[in-house]
This record gives sequence, C-alpha cells and structure tokens, in this order.
Amino acid sequence: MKKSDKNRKIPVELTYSLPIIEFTGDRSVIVEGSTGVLKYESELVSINTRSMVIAFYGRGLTLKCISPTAVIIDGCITKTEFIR
Amino acid sequence: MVLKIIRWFRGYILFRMTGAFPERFLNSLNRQGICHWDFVPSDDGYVGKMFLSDYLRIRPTARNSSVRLKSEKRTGFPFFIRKYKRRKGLLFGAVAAVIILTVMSQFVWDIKIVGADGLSTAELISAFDECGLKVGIPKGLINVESVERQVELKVPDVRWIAVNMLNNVATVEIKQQSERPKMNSGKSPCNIKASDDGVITDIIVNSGTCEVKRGSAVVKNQLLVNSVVPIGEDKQKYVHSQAEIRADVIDKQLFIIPEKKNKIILKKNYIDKSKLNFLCLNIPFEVSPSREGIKACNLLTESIRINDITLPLGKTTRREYSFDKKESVLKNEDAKKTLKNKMALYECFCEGESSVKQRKIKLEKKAGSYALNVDYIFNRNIAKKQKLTIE
Repeated sequence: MKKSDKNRKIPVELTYSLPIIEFTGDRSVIVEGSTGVLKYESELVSINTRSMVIAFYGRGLTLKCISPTAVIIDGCITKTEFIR
Repeated sequence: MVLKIIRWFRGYILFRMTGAFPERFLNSLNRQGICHWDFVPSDDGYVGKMFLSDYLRIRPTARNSSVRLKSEKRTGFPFFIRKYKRRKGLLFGAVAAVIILTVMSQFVWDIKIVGADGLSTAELISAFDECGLKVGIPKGLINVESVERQVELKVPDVRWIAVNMLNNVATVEIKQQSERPKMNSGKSPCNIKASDDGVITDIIVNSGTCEVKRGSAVVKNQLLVNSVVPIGEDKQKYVHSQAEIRADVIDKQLFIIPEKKNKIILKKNYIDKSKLNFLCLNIPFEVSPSREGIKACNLLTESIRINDITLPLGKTTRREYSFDKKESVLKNEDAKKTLKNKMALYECFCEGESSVKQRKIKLEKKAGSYALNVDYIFNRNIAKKQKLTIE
C-alpha cells in the first residue's frame, strides 16, 4: 500500500451507516439516510435509520418531503432523541 | 408556480386517511415512489394531496396498511374536462376559437396612419394598396422596406415613412415634407406704383418717399412712393418701399346666366347595396337592380371595433341615388336672385380686401340670357411694388 493511500480517510457516516442530520435553527430538519417513518404526529415524528431511531419532539410538526432515503420535517422542534 | 400548473394539468385529489397504521402506509408509498404532498396530521387522521393517477393505484397498499382513504376534493384539468364531457359544443367552440385566432393572426387587420395631418388619408391608403400593404393581406407577404421605398416615391409629400407591424395592426408613421420658406425679397429696392386709376383716400408709408397726397387723382402705373430717399444735402439711398395707399376705384362687372337651365333634381328614394367585408374579401349580401339615368352614390364603411382595435370584419353600404333632368325657364325674379348671389360671391372672394363704397345694379334681358351690370366704387389698396431695374 502506498503512503498516500494510508492518509486517505473514509467518511464516518459511510463506515457506520450513520444518518446525516441538518438543522435550520429549530424550524426545520433534514434527515438523510432514513429508512422509514415510525411515528407521525404533530408533536412527535420518529424516523428510522439503519443504526438508530431519531425522535423529534415539538409543535406543529409536518413532513414537508419524504423520499426513500431522506425526510424533511418542518415545525417548531423542541427536543431530539436518539434511540438505539 | 410551474409546479402548480403541472399539478393542475395532471389533476390531484385532497384525501383524508384514517386507520391503524398510517406510518406504514406512508412508508409503502415512499417505497413505491408515489408522490404526495401537504401530508399533515388532522383531528381524525391525516390529510394529504396526491396525483389522480397515483390515487387510482394505491388502493391495495391502503388495504394492506389497514387504512381507509376518502377523497375530499378533486382539482385539475381531468376533472374539469369530465365536468363538461357531455357539452361537446364547448369543446368544439374552444377548438374553433383557437384555430380562428391562429389563422386570423397571420393577416393584417388594420392600418393606422400616424403623423400625416396635412395629407389625404384616402390617398395614402390607395398608395399603400398599390405598394402591397392593405387590410387582409398575410403578414408574411409584406416587404416592409419595399413598401416604405415605394410609398416615398409615389407620394412626393412624404419625407420619411416607417411601417411597424405590431400584432395585426400595421402602424405607418409618416413625416411630411416641410414647405420651402418664402424668399425674403424685402431688401431689394423697389418703387410703389398705382395698380388702378382712382382718387387717394388714405396713405400709410412705412419706407420710401411719398409722391402723392390725399385727395389727389392718380392713373394706373403712376409712381406713388419713390424708393430714393435723400440723406443730407447731396447723398441719397435706395430703400425697399413699403406703403398702403387706399383709393376709390371705379370698377364694372357683368354677371350673366342663361335663361333656360337644365336642372338636376335628386329623387327621394335610393337603393342600398351592402357588402360584407372580411379581410380583403367583399361578399355582397344585398342585391338590388341598378337604375338607369344619372346616378350618384356614396360609400359608407362600418367596421367592428373592440377596445380600439378594428376587426377585419365590417359592412360597406353603397347608397345609390338617382336624378331627374328637367329643363326650366328662369323667371325675372329668380334670375335677379341668382345673379345677386353671384355678385355677393364675387365681392366676398374676389374683392375680399376692398370695401364697397357704391354699387349700381342694372338687370338686362338679352337674347336667351339675363345680365346684371354692376357699377362699383371700391375702396382698395392700389399700392403695387415694382423692382428697380438698371439699364
């Protein structure tokens, strides 16, 4: 193996199949790497990923966009929980 | 906005979903790649929107997920069409309207002329017609540059012309030839002479040396104002004489009219012949027999206008009048009246700047005609400029 190959790093999210979560303040969140919606209510949205379940608590939560691998949640997010 | 239009054309349904496992249903939809939007929780379930085509094929998925779907509102083009499915006339009307608009937009509907205040519109339209620009001609056949060049050559009063094709209206902007200014000849020295024999009543001299006095009698071509003006004792200069010299002038006029006259009398009834104008077609829809004898006609064109746009559809009515020819013998009084009218016209138009001081009228009947002898005394300006010539 060459020296330069040793220095190359593989992204963590690819290694452990971790989801990528991007918040915009407390108003919107984008979850990439989702595998489905487990709970959808106006106060709680639970998203299943390969490695964990992410629960978003808040008020007036809505699923703005759902695709097979990503979810966009809108509303006032008050708490986020990672359940393994 | 584009997304909204696409959704409207594809048609979408606002549905309400109730049941035990709505999340399972949602995940199934995602796996199948079915698009849905505005999916929000409501009091007794969830409300969302979905394309009509997708909604028709999600029944098995809903059954497997133990949810019930209920359509609440249908929006879009497919539902609009379904609503008017039985009224085929509307569809034909819409298709016909589109075809008519497409075809008609290829033709010139109207010609507007801008800036030709001193030129005859009829003459200009006739020139445009000859040069290939007329109502009803396809727009593609008009060679704007050629029309502009030809009209400039045909109508000499046109200095500059521009033809702008805007939608179906040809707007022609025209600049007229400006009149050549009159040469100022007020600087060359000239005398003023009498244009008639008469007795001078009034003298106003602006420049030059006056050679006559008020009350003096003058003959034709007599020098009234001299252009030579003395300066000091020995020197003199030539000026352009300007003066108004009014004099009482004797004049004689003879007005004659024949005793027998062919009179043309307009008949009260007339014949209307109407044509339907559509683009450059004239279709007669009212046919009447033509009359014999002397005829006169006037043309009345009416076009349909909507919002200041003239449509290429209208009606031209040709109204034909006929006349009777009748020979009449003038009576003495009628002849006098007619001759007096002639005399009044002469005084108004031929002696407009003169005032009549005296007039003696004498009516005579000669062989086959009436004559009115009038002896006038006019008070008129008899100043006539005459340039100095050096021999």
